[in-house]
Amino acid sequence: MNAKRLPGRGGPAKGPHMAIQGQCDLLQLTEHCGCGAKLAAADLREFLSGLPASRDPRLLVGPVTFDDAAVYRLRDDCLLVQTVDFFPPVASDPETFGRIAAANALSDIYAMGGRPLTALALMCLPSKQVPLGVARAIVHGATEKLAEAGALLVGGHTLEDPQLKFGLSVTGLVEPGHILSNAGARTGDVLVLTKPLGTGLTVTAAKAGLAPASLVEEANRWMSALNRAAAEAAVQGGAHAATDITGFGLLGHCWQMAKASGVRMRLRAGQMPLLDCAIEFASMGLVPAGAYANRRFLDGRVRICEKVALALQDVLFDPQTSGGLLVCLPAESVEKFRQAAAGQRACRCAVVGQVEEGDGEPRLLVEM
Amino acid sequence: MLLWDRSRRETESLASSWKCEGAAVTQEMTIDARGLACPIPVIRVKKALEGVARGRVVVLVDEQVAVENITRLAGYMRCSHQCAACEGGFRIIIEKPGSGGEEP
Repeated sequence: MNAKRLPGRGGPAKGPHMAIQGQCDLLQLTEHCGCGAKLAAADLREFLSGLPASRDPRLLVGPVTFDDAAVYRLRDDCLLVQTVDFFPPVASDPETFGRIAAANALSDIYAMGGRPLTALALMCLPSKQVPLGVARAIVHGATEKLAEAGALLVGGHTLEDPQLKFGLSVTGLVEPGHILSNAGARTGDVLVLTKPLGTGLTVTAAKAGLAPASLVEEANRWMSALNRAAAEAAVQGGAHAATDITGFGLLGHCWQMAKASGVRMRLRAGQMPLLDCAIEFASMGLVPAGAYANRRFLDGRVRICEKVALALQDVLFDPQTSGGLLVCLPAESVEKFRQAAAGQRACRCAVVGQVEEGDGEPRLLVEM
Repeated sequence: MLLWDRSRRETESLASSWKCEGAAVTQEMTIDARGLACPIPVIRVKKALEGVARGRVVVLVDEQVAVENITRLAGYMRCSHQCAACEGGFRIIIEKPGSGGEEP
């Protein structure tokens, strides 16, 4: 099928070098987009290995379990959740980029079962290239998203830098019984994913000028959507564990959860919720570099059935920005979770796998 | 150096074997996409392949990611392809077979 026949209204979103409303197209300012700019998991592990780990009885969730955010006990009934996330542009429009960056940073708090309170902005700005109005619009978008989440922007830090980057450090609270760590998955649990996959592919297609505007808008809408409703449904449903899907892709984050929990996970590739045309973008070679890094890292750690087509595999490795939650629930709670998430525009839930016994590689088994 | 030399020999022999079929080829062009990050090499190759009814596009790239993406694109556009390491990266030879007489 020819790319020109991709469905969508309004034709291609924007050519590689076209300006938007007289402003610069932020996607053209960066090589790696959004969470796709994450350092490869293998490199991260290498440079962190051997460094002393923070140990304190008050540190309930730390770096050891590859978790989304750290949890620190202030008092027995008061647990602090902290996270930071920032990256280069993932959308052409500054306000949209700000909204997505905020939703993405807030997601780490939600993935721990917490609620956000305050946020500090981090911005690297090439001020000779990017007008200050763009910086202002980015922060405006972020503030709007924080307000939706009931959190406050309380400060920030800016640097002159050749590469535009933006994100937030978010602080929140979590109820003692509600922590959704990576390490809680139990044999027999069911895995539910709450947003469609393929944001990295769609953003790469947008950067190439090959994605119809409607598909880019749809991806932006999903990336801007808060994971709050999904997290509330997870807590209500008695979830054992949760993580948000970002730069390491569905399989990368799934593996981290399986490893932290000492279990094996069996995934159904054919059940994954997907953005329209994600498979087609992968077939066309619009696969971001991060997807290949994720695939390399997981070599020997995941076994993929040959029935899973290469393009679908690419989607499973695709680095997501502000992806959905992957929630581990007892099988009997799935219906309760679905009902709690039903009708939420920010959720498209699908059962995508199950947790099995077994501690060793390959931890992930992917079937059609 | 030895590795590069061997790769170059392999590439040259590959190129000459392709040249044997040269009589049937209508157009040939080379795209040097070394130093360019994806998706730019993919965009250039796609445009080149769309611009010819049938023919051969030779692409030079210096990243494995570009090789992976361009070979995916070649498959998507129903073109055959061969890839070999060459000095400073990789050479991908893409053959667009034409429409098989379906088009006027």
